[in-house]
Amino acid sequence: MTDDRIDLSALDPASDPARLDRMAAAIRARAARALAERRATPTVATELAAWTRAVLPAAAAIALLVTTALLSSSGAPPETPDPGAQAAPAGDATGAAVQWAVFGQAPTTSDLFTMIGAQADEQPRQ
Amino acid sequence: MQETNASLVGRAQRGDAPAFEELVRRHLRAAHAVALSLLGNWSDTEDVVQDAFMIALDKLDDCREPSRFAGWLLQIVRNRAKNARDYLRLREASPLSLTHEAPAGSDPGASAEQAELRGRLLQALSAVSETQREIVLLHDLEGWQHKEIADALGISEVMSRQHLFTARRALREELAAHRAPEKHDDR
Repeated sequence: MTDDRIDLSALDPASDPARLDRMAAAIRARAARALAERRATPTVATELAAWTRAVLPAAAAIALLVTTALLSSSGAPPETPDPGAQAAPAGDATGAAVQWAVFGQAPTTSDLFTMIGAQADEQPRQ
Repeated sequence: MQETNASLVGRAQRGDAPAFEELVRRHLRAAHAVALSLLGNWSDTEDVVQDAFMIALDKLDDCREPSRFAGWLLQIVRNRAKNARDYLRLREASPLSLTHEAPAGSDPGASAEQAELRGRLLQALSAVSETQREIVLLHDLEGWQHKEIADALGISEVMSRQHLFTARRALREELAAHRAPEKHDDR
């Protein structure tokens, strides 16, 4: 295959630089409005970026408040002891009390003595 | 290092005017060559090229492979040129005219000679297929490599080379045939 190029320079638009410049300028002028609209119209990407800028500081503030609140509540001792907590039976006594409550069973006398004894075992000796 | 087409397309999608202007600067001549290969005259070619760039800007978000912007743009040019050609044929009810205009602001004498040469070349180009016309203009006029042409036209490099060989042979025969009567007159 021959590699001789055909001289097509007469068809080259660059042979008339002024004409080429006019074409480019015309395209530029026609495109100006469309490009301005693109700059003004938010896309999904630009919207997400804007939300991120607003949401991140708010999320950080909320996280800080929640963390502070959690730390405050976990460190503070209860003002009044829960009477139910002292009376609550330990181990098997607890399970027995649950049985009474769930199944509506009345405790027997021995059950009660057992529970009191269990509680007594739980109390620190003075 | 030159900014990639993909990067320019991304910036232009966001309305960056200098990025779009750079895309125009890079691809204007190739777009002109493709439009000319289909229309055969400079006046209509200029209009079609401008329209094609506006369509490309409008549909820039649909450019799925920004790195292949050239091929995508040339397809738009091709479609726009074919639509314009069909409209002109319908309106004029005549075969494709091979009119040409003298470049504005240049030497009138040179313009006439240039215009005559341009006319002969356009006449010869009309003897080859659209694809061959496009390939010979992109390769021999715009200096594209076969890889670029194949990528833009969606053909193989082998086909691009074959088309170029065939087109060059046909163009030489056409140009020689138009010169032959002058040689006989000289005797």
